[in-house]
Parts: sequence; structure tokens; C-alpha cells
Amino acid sequence: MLKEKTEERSKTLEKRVEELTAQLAKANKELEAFSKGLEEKVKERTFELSILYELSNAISYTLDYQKLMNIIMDSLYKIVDYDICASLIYNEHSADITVKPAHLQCSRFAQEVQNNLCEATLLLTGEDIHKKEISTFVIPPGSDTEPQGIPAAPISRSRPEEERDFTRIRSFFNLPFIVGSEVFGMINVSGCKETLFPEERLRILYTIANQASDAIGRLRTIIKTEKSKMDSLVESMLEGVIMLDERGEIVVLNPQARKMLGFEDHQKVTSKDLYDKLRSAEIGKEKEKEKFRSGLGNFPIVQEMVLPHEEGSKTLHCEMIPVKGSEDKVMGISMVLRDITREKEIEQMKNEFISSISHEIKTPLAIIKEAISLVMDEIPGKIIEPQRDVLTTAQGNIGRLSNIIEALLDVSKIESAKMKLDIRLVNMSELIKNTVSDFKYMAEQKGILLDYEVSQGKVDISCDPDKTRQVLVNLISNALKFTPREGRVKVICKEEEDEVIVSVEDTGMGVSEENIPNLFDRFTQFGRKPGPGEKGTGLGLAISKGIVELHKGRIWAESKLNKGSKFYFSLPKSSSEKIEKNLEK
Amino acid sequence: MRESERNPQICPSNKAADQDGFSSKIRLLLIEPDREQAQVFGKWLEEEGFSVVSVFNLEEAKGKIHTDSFFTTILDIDFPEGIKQGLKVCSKLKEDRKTKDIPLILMTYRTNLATIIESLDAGADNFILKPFETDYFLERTKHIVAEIEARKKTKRVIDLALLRFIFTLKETDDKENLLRLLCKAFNRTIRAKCMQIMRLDCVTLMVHRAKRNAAEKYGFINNLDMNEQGIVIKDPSGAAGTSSAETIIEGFEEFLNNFLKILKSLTGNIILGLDEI
Repeated sequence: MLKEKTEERSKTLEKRVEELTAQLAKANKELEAFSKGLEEKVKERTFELSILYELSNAISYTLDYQKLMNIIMDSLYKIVDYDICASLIYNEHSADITVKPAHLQCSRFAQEVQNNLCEATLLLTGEDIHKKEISTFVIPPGSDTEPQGIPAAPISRSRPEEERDFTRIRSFFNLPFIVGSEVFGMINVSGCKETLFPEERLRILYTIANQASDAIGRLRTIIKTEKSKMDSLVESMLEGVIMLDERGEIVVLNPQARKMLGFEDHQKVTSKDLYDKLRSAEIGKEKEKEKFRSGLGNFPIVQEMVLPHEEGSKTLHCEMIPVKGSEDKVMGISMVLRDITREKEIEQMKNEFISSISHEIKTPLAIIKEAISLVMDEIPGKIIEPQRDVLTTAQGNIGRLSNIIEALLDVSKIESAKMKLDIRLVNMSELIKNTVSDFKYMAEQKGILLDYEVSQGKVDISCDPDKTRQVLVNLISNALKFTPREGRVKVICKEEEDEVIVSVEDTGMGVSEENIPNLFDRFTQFGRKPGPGEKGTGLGLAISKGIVELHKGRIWAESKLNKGSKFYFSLPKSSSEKIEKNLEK
Repeated sequence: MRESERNPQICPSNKAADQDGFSSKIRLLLIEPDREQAQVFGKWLEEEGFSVVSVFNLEEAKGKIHTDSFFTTILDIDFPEGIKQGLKVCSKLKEDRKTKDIPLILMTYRTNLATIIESLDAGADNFILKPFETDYFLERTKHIVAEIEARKKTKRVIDLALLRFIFTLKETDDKENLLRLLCKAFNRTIRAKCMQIMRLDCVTLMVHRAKRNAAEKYGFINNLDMNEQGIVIKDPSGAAGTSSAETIIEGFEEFLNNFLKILKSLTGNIILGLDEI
């Protein structure tokens, strides 16, 4: 009885233990599963955080939309196995779309995702992107766009190797960029798989869009403040400032530039209006545009332009410089305009003054000269030798004075554009030969070796022979003047493809480099030793420059102090051909 | 207005396996204080192929739920002690960690929108309105169960059942509460789903956009406002104004359709069931 009871009891207990063991096992299993799930979750979360960390690091230092978009798209690719990704950023007038297909096969969805973005934007904000100026940029798949600073995914994500069906887009997600309550863009993530977005990934997708929103918002604020800073600076400048982008559209046109170019205060100025204005002043010619595009050539290009204006014409001084971005790519043109009408007027008055004074002086001077000649020819009566000496000195100085006056008249003629050229067909070699031989005596007197080197054949060129000779005389007499005994002066004439270059080389005292640009200014003389001797008017080079430029030629100098100088001038051939043709006719 | 016909993705299936796989029948817990009625409802449901366990109060219900698993709970809140007691049962079930995830269908009287609002706050998921015919009761139960089933399969389905139910309340005179109810249902279902995958500022924008388009035709929609908790109605009595309950529902329907359209344009097929309501 007792045994039975005990047996029964132990059986129940056994059963109970079994039950408990089973329960324990079950609980253990549950716990295991739970902790495994937890581990997975922690892993997942760590991965998400690492991506966010990278992303926030990378975008904090980026001030470039395109780059920013690229970084965001790269980050997104680590999270979502997308097939094509696109972003849209827009403002009042324009929209920028960046498309990044993950595979080559998906490039053909570019238009579809763009439309998708535009439609979602229209529905969400009422903003019709198609009415804006859209510029699209497609990043080719496989191109090395991985921005620096974003390492590869810390946890390698399994990309199933299954054959993808790239026939159509089956799932997508548009994430708007919002700052405050303003939408300024959207990013689209699309895939050909039915379920591109696992539930748990959506949250981080959204977090990334937030990060991107913040970054872009920050970028916009920076650009806005910088722009407003620049705007107020440009607005308050006394100079007119115009900036054009690489497409030639107007980016900046400050009030001064408007005023100078004769646009109304609030008039909407299109790039065409501007070009019409500038073309009338011969700025923005094709050749120069080409120069700008390449970013090569001498800058700034300086031009003076005369614009018709309500109160008479206006003279503007215009400097054009290409604006270069990274890698020296030309991003646009900046022009600075200065109204020099007043300066021009004053200069005009000065020229007129000089011209009239010179004429006034010329007449009495001629009479004095004549009178001295009469006395020296002993017509009024005999003179003695010491008197003749004094008169000779007077005559010499009167000669100088009339030279100065002639030079002044030439300068004022050139500057008031009154100088006229008498163009003829001239053999340059002959001209040089003759001019040099006129100086032979003077050179011998000074003990200087003067020679020339011209090509054998005829070098025909159409120019004003007297004026060209004047230039040559100026250059040779300067060279002789500043070259010491035992020195050498050489005139060389070279025929180039479309111009003839004449150079006058000496072994004289030379000019220091910083003075070269000012050589051709009026009344400048450098290295002139004090005391008697080589005196000049300081106008010779200015006149030469005026004459050469009137011929559409160039004049320049190379020099080294105490080593000698080399003065060049060139006359174009093209005009000569034209004249030849005219002569033939 | 057969609800089940309007949503092709959701088809009722009585064979859906119970989670443990022990039974092919869907197990329902019926909390019905009136024993006679419990017997009748239980019989109806069993005939439709459900497996039903009837209990009469909260304690019994908790006991059953702790040892057994159920697909859905149907609760009649008309307790002899009053509706308050019924609502208490409702909120107690939703507070309990073990029971809160089981969908709760409430039975209550059609006329009283305030009660519906209260029970929504207490955590009810959907409603069967009394008094009812057998067919209505079974149709609704089956439909709601089917919706729940669909949602269990994928979390991506948006729950429009509650809103669809409210859109049937066209005869009510309590227009203020109707508006409140609409907002509440919107926040409980659509907004909640949106907030899982979107930021508040985006949802707010969507609400404003959807509102603007609907307000052109239905002025009262302008009174909708969005705050952290979701949409609310400013000055409900003023908003209801002279509009009939039918107009209010129409206007809200318009708003909702606009909203769903925007949501669809943003999320594609992430959220399913976004077709017009």
C-alpha cells in the first residue's frame, strides 16, 4: 500500500520534473532566439549608425551640390540595393537633376525616374518642375565617384547574385528635402525588384534624407548669406560690374552697370539685350569669345567703348577677365566698366589747348627764325664772329623748339584722331635702307656702328611712307642717342605670315623692366642723364605708338638695364592685300 | 457599399492557419456579458467556420488569453454595469502586454458617436454597430478579420478599414463628433503608418497640400489643422456648420484621396492598399 503510494508519488514527481524540464528547455530556446534576434538588431543598428556617421562626416565639409548628391547616393546604395537613384534640387527658375544608375542596363530608366520626381514634387508642393529650366546630369555607372572620406561598408552586405529582371521599375521611394516647411528638392530611389525596401530599412532611409535636407539647407543658407554679402558689395561699387556664366547668361548686373549701359532700374535685361549693347560698341567679338572659352591669351582684355546716351555719348573703359573655377575651367566672364566720359572730355580740352597754343607759338617762332637767318646772312649789315656764335646757338635752340612744337601737334592730332594716313604701297626694305643712310654721318660722328639687315626681295607693304619713316627715325635717333661710343645699332626687317616686323636694336644703357610698360607714354624719359647733351621731347615714342596703332600694328620693347634695348614695331600685311586688290581693280 | 468588394488585396480566408498550426480555424474570443446573446453569436460564428471561445468578463478573458492564443477579440461593451465598464475592459486589454496586440472589435450602438470616440481612445481597432441582423454581423466580422489577416501577412498594408467604417455613418446628426472621429481615425491609421517611414514635416506638408485641394470645394476642410499629435479640427461646431453629415464625409473623402495620391507618388509600392477609398 505504502509502496504503491510511494511509487505513484514518485511517478507524479517524475512527470512533474519532466514537465519542468520541458518548460525549461522551451524557455531556454525562446531566450536563445530572443538574444539572437537582439544581436541581429544590434548589428543592424550599428551598421546604420556607421553609415550615418560617415555620411554626416562627409557632408559637413562639402559645399558643392553635385558632390553632396553623390555622397548621399553612395551612402544610400549601401543601405538600399537600388538600381537607379536620382535627385532633384530646384529654386524659383531652375532645377538640377542628377541621375545615378547603379547598372548600365538601368540608364534607360533615367527619364522615368525624372518624371517620377517631377510628378511627386508637383503633387506635394504644386511646383511644376517642367516649367523651369532643367539641367540634367547623369553619373555613368561604374565611374569612380566614391568620394574620399567614405570608406567601404563596414559590414559587407550580401548582394544576391540572382538574375535581375531589368524590364521595368517595380518599386521606388521619393524622399523630399525639407527645411522648415519648404521643400527644395527630392531624392528618388528606384529598383526593378518588387520589394526593394525592407521595413527596417525605411527608417534609416528617412534618416538619411533628413541628414541630406539639413546639409543642403545649410549649404543654401551659406550660399545665400555669401551671395547677399557679395551682392551688397557689388551693388555699392562705383564701377559697373557684369558677370556672365559659361552659357553667357547674366549672373550679375549691378546698378552702376545698368546706368552706364542705359538700362532702366527695374528693366529685365536679357543676355541678348546686353550683347546688342556691347556689339554696338564692338565688344564681344567672336575672336574674343573664343579666347575666353579657352581661358588663354592675355587678360584682362581692356577696351574703350563709346555708347550713345541721352546726354551725348558716353565713353566706358571696360576690362574683361575670365572667371575660372576648379581645374582652370572657365566658368564665365566678369566685366568691370568705368565711366571715363569726363576724363575723355578733359583730355580733349587739353589736346585742343596744346594744339592751339602750338599754332600760336609756331608763327612768331617762324618770324624769329627768319629774322635770325637774315642777320646771319648779313643782309641788315656785317656781323662779327662772336655775334655769329651767339646767333648760331639761338638758331639751334629755335630748331629744337620748333621740333617740340611739331611733336606736340602730332600728339594732339593722334589723340584727337585727327591724324590721317596717306596709304601707299611701300617697299619696306627700300625705306629702311634710305632712312639708315640718312643717319650714317651722325653715327660715324658718335663712333657707333650702324647697319641694317633686310630680306633681299621686295617687302611690299601698304602704309603711310612719311609716317612710317617718322617712326623709324624716332627709333633710330633714340638708339643713337642712348648708345655710347664703340656701340652698335642694328635695324632688322623680318617678314612674317601676316605682318612685317621691324626692330631697332642697340647696345645702349637700356631701360629697367618695370619702366618698359610706361615707355610709350607721353613726356616720359628714363635714364636721362642730367646736363647738356642728349635732349629729347619725350614725345617720340608716344607719337610712334600712335602712328603704328593707326596702321593697326603693334609696338613694343625689350630691354635690359646697361645691356641694350630692342624696339619692335609691326605693320599688318592684311590691309596691304586689300589695297593691292583695290589697286588692281 | 460592400467593403470586402472594394479591396481586392484582402480576401477573407477562414483556413488561414493559426499561429501554432494546431488548428486551421480562426480562433475568436467573444467577450459578451449577456450569456444568451453569447450563445447566439457563438453559434453564428461557428457556423461560418470560426472557432469561438465565449467569456463573460475581464478576468475570464485574461485567463483565456494567457493560456490560449486568439486571432481577434470581439467585445460587447454593453455591460449590465454600463458602457463605462465595457470601455474599462477594452482599455485593460489594451494595457496588458500580453493582450494588447490582439485586434479588438467593439460592438456598440450606432447612434452614439461619442461612445465610438471614447472606445477608440480606449484602444478599439474596429466596430460592429448594433442593433444588427445576422448577415451584417457576420459580414463585418469576416471583413474585419480578413483585413487583420492581410495586415498580419505584411506590415506594408495601410489600414483603411476604420475610415471606411466611419464613412458609412452618413445618417448621424452628431456632426461635430463625426469630424472628431474622422480626424482620430486618420491619425490612428494613416498618419501612424506615415510616421513610421516619414518625418513629421513631410506628413505635415502632405496634409496641407491635400487640404488645399479639397478646401476649394469643401470649405470646412480649412479647419483641419496639423500638430504633433496629428490632424485636429479647429472649432468643430463652426466647421460642421450647415454641412450635412454626408457632405462632411464627402469632403473628408476628397481630402483623404488627395493625401493618398501624394503618399503614393512618394512611396510607390512601399505602402499597399493606397487606392482610392
